[in-house]
Amino acid sequence: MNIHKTVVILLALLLAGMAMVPMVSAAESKLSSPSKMVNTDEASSVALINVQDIANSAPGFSEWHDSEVILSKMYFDLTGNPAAYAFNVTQNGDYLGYILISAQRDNYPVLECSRGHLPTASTDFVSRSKTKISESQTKDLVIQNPVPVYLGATFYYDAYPMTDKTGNVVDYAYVDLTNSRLFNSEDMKKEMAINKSSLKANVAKPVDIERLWSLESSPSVMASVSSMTRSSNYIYDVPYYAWYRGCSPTAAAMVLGYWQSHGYPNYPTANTLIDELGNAMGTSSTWPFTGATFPLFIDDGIETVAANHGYSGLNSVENIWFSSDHFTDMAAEIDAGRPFVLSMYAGGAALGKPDTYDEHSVTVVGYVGSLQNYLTIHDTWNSPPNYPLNDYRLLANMNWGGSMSDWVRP
Amino acid sequence: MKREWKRIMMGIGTVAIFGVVIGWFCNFGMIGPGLPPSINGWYFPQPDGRYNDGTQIFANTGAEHYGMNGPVSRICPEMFPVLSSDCIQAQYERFYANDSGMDSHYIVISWYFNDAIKFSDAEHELNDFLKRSGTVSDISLDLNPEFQRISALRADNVQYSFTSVPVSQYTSNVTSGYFITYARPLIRDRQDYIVMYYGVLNDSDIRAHATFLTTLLVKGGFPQDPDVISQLSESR
Repeated sequence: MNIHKTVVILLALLLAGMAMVPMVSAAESKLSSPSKMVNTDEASSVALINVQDIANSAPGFSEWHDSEVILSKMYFDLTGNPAAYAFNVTQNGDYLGYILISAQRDNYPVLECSRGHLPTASTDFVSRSKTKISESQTKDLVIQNPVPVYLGATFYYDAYPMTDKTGNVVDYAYVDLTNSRLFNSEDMKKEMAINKSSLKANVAKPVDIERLWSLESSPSVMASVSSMTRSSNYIYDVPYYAWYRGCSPTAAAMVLGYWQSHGYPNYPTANTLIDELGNAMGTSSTWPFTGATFPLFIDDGIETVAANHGYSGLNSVENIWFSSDHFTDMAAEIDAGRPFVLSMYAGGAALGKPDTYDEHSVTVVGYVGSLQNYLTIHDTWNSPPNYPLNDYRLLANMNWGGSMSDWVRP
Repeated sequence: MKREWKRIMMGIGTVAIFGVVIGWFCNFGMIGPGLPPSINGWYFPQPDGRYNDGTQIFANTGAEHYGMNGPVSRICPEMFPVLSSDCIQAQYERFYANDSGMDSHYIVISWYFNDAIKFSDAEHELNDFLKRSGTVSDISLDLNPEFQRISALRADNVQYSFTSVPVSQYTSNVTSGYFITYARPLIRDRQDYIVMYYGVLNDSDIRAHATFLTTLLVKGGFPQDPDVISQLSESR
């Protein structure tokens, strides 16, 4: 390893980290600004554009072609500011799914989209919520109809205003829609503190978000959405490996696991391969760095394991990117049929998911290039046997503070 | 002498500060470990495939057919106390009625904790409840037949160094099954604790369902280290 190179990169990482602190703080402080609010007409337009865009580009959503969007619900945050608009996606009256659009311009326009149902549309969830709130009924306070609250993917609540005898709202009670837990105001604050890391899911680079909103508010986009140039690609048979030993060796193992079934059969698979890669790239097994890998060693580790199995010709190339956009390069690598490892600093959350990646390595298996560019990833969190989450994820391009990619070219 | 002592203390202080700075610097540049805040669901059984109608099924479970009944839910059933807010469950059923016409319904529940004391308290609360509402006994569950039967189906070819696991066997008229706990299963210095339950609903004859319950348990996978696996702790 070139020492000079290492020192330069470490200094650059330090600078990138220092730069990210004000970036995140700035994004958080803008959330309640009235000038950032999106009205229902704008949200409806953005929803329609994105539904067509998703239908054209995202795997598994082709039935959303030529569908309509109908505003079904408006969600608020804990301070009473609009947080999101929910639209049902329908076609000839048939329900096809939903799309959630941000009501604030300092968040990504599309917060969630799914072929399933929102928790607030589940009669089971709603009736449990009503049953739960009835338990907190007191003589002095009257429980009013709930206000729907959205605090990020999977964080759906009913906020019940509690009024006194004069009709003034004196407190709120909250019910978590998905697990029917009841909170008073104080408990809700504590719950939010616990979930703080999850709730920063959609905090990302303001410049990207502003670009997206300005693009989607453009009248010409609405007119041309059906004929827009899009590109997407997906390498279907990259294996899913569950997190083991560390995210970097797990992500790299999925890449070599792909090549194992594509002409390079000497590689072992799964945990055996992850262990070999972990050893080769120096993934730590001791506190406080358990499971952590220094990213400059990822490419060397991949090459070492390849050579150990008779493939000394494999070339792993590291690319160090901080704030520059290299979506075109990544798409080209996927177009060439080569999955690769992406390591993020201050990584955001995948589309519709609550948990931020922070410092994390993932396997990139595809991309969706359109209004918003996405990478299709295996994130080591969604593999068998982790059943409920077994699927690829879409990660917005540049939804990170800094990144490194490791091409793997056998 | 006093000056010498001062110099030594200053030296130690300088080294300590330097160590903290270097440690922070090294940690800053590293990637990982990269685990999600909660690993609930990590050991949930995954169906092997789907019928044409989209029903999710388990393959190679003998002559009978089993599948998932509905989606995975974050609402835990009321048959047990609320142990953790991070709780998920899924229900399963035997697809085709046998000759006697008796279908069986199964449930898998997972409670997650990120705190050792909360985990311990939950174990004791659960154990107390189980003793009041049914019969509990600690047994060693033989996994070998299941390992042999389904190992060929697993994509990851995980090999375990054990062929049996300690479980708490629970029987009652409402549900009967096995409880198993995993304490810090992925990283020993990270606070992850999981209580899993694999049970049959409305049946106290656990022997009649032991095969499929073991199948569910094995299909969910295990931590590699057998030391992190145990049955419920005894009541205090």
